[in-house]
Amino acid sequence: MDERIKDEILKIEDLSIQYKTDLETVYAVNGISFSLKQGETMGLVGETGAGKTTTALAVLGLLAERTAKVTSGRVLFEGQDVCKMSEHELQRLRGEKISMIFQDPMTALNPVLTVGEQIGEALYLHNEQELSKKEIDRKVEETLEMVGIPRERKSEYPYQFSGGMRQRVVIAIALVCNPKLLIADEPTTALDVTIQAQILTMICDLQRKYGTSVIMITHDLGVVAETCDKVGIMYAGEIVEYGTLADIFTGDCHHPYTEGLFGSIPSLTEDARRLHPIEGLMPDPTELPEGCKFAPRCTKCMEICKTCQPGVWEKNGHQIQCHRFTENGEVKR
Amino acid sequence: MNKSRKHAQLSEFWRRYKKNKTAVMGLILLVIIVGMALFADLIVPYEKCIEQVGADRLQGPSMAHFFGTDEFGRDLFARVVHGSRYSLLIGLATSLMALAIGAVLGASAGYFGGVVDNVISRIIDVFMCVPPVLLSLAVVAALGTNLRNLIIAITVSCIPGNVRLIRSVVLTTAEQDYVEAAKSYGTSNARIIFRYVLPNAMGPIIVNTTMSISTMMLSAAGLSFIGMGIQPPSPEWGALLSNAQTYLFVAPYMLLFPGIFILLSSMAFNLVGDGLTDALDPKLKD
Repeated sequence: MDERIKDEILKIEDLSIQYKTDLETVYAVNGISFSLKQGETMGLVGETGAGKTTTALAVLGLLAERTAKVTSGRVLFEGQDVCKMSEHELQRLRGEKISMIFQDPMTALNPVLTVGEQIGEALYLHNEQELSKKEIDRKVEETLEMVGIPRERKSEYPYQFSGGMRQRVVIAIALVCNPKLLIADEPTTALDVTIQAQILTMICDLQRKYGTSVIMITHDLGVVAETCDKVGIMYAGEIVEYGTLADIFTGDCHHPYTEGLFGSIPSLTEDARRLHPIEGLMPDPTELPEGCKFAPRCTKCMEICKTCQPGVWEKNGHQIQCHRFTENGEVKR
Repeated sequence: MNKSRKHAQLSEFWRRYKKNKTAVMGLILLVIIVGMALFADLIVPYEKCIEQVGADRLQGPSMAHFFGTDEFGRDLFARVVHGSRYSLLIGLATSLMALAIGAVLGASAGYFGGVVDNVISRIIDVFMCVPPVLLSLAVVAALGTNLRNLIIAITVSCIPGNVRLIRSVVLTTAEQDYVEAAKSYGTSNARIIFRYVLPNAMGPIIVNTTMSISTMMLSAAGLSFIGMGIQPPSPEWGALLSNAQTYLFVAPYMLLFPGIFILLSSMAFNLVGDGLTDALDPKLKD
């Protein structure tokens, strides 16, 4: 038991986050829970606006101070609550223990610093081994080569790099301090498909080499299938289905939303004239439906779904939040 | 290794600056004017500025007095040459001080927002209500007239505009992804402001500062013109103009030469400012 807690590096319990402005309240994340062990990769899948990035920012303690509010729950990183940390503690955590790969490599690099300076920045800020300038320099060069960029290019500026190369630089920045947890926020969305595979393989290789845990945020199920151990399907700020890769991709029981997601992947063998989207749009996060958030779009919607928030059905760690599987908290069938 | 890189950057910068012919012209002009201020004593001794020769009153330009003489028979060439020291000193000192204060206030207002922004912006609003000349006048009137107070007065009148400009460019820069990325690897706020936000907002700030040098020189000249700036017998371009207006019809050259130098030097600063922005912007590199 003790062992299990020890290598549980991140644990999120019943986390809810709201964005409050004078005009409206956006319910971005509504009571999600999951945990991540050392060396594991967890995929967070969902449509735009499902609360994936908000969750990631909460782990880093980077939510916009004035508008975002954690209304319930805890984010435990190595047993410490990130939400209760002071700004100073957070600054020590970020970059050194948790780091993040941003979505758009074209804007995530500072145009006036050379890439070498930017990679060295995190090392300089978290210089616990008191590396000298030369040692930092050497580490920067090593990291560059690790992500497949010749070391001579470290004194070049971001504008001299292509998109794929920039994403490598962004990854180098994220990995230079050997973080325990890496959050990859749609790391391949802005890249073309040939580069996507390279970048994903690289992230996986580096993860295996250093035993880093990864949260892979994406809306691409293909990326998930290739890289993840566990998957959480997010919809309107909730994790509607959560399980191992096998549970999600080959299991029998699914949340209707997951079925819809898989149903909308175009098939290579079937000769279909049209794609199969999930009808309707995500509910307005300022006015979420009363019962199941997915009810208005669900093809299997029942009366109870419209009024009553479903409980969680669980079988061997595979969790589904749907009335089809539960009744008064009891498992149907 | 590091040194050669710095060197390479410099020569790269110079290569791009050179392309802009008007900027090079501005630089040459600026070097001449700064050289004139630095070596004023070698060009003509200071005594010539204050030496009054009764017989030579209100002489037009000649070989003996290149720019003529004033109503006390003082050599105007010597006065213009030595006056450049005051004008340049005032222009540079006020602009740099206003830049430093404006950068700190404007960047904190734009970056932190909220209460900090509100407090700073409202105070600046109050200062913006007062015309700059009046503001300078008030400060000079309160502190007394001398070079130091003149510099303070002009700086004060220049700060509000600087704060506003810097706040607005910082607002847009602070929204950029790389600032959030910097936060995500644990950079402190001060470091983000000075390494990420301000350098990227530098373009408009540099132009504004170089342009403001000439504006500052002009407002110093203006204050001296109405007698609230540099006091006689110290030669300052504005003071020379002020003095010349009495003799506008008898000796127009008295107005002409200081005027030309004010014009040339503010033009030089403006051209150099334009050239700098183009050359410094890494996004425009080819």
